[in-house]
Parts: sequence; C-alpha cells; structure tokens
Amino acid sequence: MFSLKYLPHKEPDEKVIFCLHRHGFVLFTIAMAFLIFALLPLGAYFLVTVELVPFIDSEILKIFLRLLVFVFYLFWWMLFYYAFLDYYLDVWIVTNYRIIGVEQKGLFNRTVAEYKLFRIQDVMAEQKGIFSTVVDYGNIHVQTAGEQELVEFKQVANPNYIARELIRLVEFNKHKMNQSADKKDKNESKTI
Amino acid sequence: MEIPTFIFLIAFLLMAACFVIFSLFLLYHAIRFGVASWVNVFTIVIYMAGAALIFLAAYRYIASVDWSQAIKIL
Repeated sequence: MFSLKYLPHKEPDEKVIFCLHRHGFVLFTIAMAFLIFALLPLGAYFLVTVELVPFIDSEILKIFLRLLVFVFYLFWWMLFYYAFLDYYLDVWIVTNYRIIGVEQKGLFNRTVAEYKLFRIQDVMAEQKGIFSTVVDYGNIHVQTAGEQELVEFKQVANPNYIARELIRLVEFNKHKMNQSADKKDKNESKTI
Repeated sequence: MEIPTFIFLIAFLLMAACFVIFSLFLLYHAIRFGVASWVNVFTIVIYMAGAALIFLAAYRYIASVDWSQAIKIL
C-alpha cells in the first residue's frame, strides 16, 4: 500500500491538498447491480420448486444444482470485489506542486502519471445527468495551453469546488515560480 | 454404465481453486496498490470473511452428502 505521507520525489514543502476517489454513489450503483444479480439463484429456486418439480426429482441433480449455487456465489463475491477494486484503486492526488493520477484499468493494467501544476491552463468541471447533479459528482478535465488534455478526474465529488481550488493552486504555483525566476535573474545580474 | 457423483465434487474443487487463484491476484492488487487506510484493510478483511463464509457453507453441505452414489448412464 502507498501512504500519502511518502509520495515519490516529494518536495520539502509539498503538501497533499486533495486525495480524490470516485464518488461513493458510483459504488452504491455498482453494489445495487450486484445485489440484483445475487438474487438470481433465489429466482431460479422458486422457478424450479414451482414449475420443474417433476424434472428435478433426482438426488444427483439436486447435488449438482446446490454445488452450482455455491460456485455462483463464490464467483459473484469475487466479481463484486473486482468491481470495488476497479472503483477504489482510481485515485487523484493534488498537491501544491503537482497532480498524481493513478488509474486502474482492470487487473495488471495500471497507469500512474504526474502532472506539474505550472503546465495547466484550463480546468473544466462537468456534471451530466440527474444523479450527478443531485448527488453532486462529476468529471474534471485539466488541459494545457495547447488544449491537450492532461488528466481527467472521473466521477469525483464537488467537481465545481475542486476545479476552483485547482485553478487557485495553479495560479499560486505560477506566481511562486515567477517570483523565484525573478530572484534568480536579480542574483545573476548582481554577480555580473 | 455408472459415473460416480464425486465427479461433481472434483469439478467444484477445480472451480474453487480458480476462485482462490483469482482472489490472490485481487488481494495482491489491493495490498500493493491501495492507499494505506483503514478502508482498504477493512475491505480486504470483509472480502476474506465473505469467502470463508461461502466455503464454510459449501463444506457443511459437502460433508452431509453421500458421495458413494453413482449416476447411471445406460
């Protein structure tokens, strides 16, 4: 596991401002879908006991069906955890210097990218649909000056607030860089 | 011709082995790439407990079955 206290190549005065995951409502919708899926064996059981009793009189067939139900629930549980990991392992860490985007795209397929704040020009927050508007989650698109999308924060909570704070951090970061560049120029001119 | 019923048990055990292998991959991802927080640890524990419950229920049923029965084909 990685800790937020020990980020790679951490600057001395670097602080984590946001650690963003997808909104919990997204996990809730996934959980509801899996819950409905979990009721399938119960529905099949009622169908079998009401409609197919004459055909399922064999003890051997009952053993087979019960083992099938256990296998079904084992794989259901595994797929549920897989869906949870696919949701949970996507994380976007915003510090006062950079954005670290970690995206899990299935098993053994992971992208970790780092974006310096001074490269960012545009930040766009997007909320589409009734649930994302009511629950307040959405996507944030971060672009460079050349309209090249650097990173997309997917289905994060309070996207408008996060976008505003990102812009504030970018402007502060650029101002700080300009100040240190000015100081460096002054020092160089003094030595000459 | 008769086929023993424990062929179903062997098939079940094979599927259980696939489940265990895939679960190891999932737990590897959770432990290696997850954020170090109580949420991650809690979900790992819940997953293992859920799997253990399903295996326990399966074991209790399997222990109650007479596997010496045979399926008559012809």
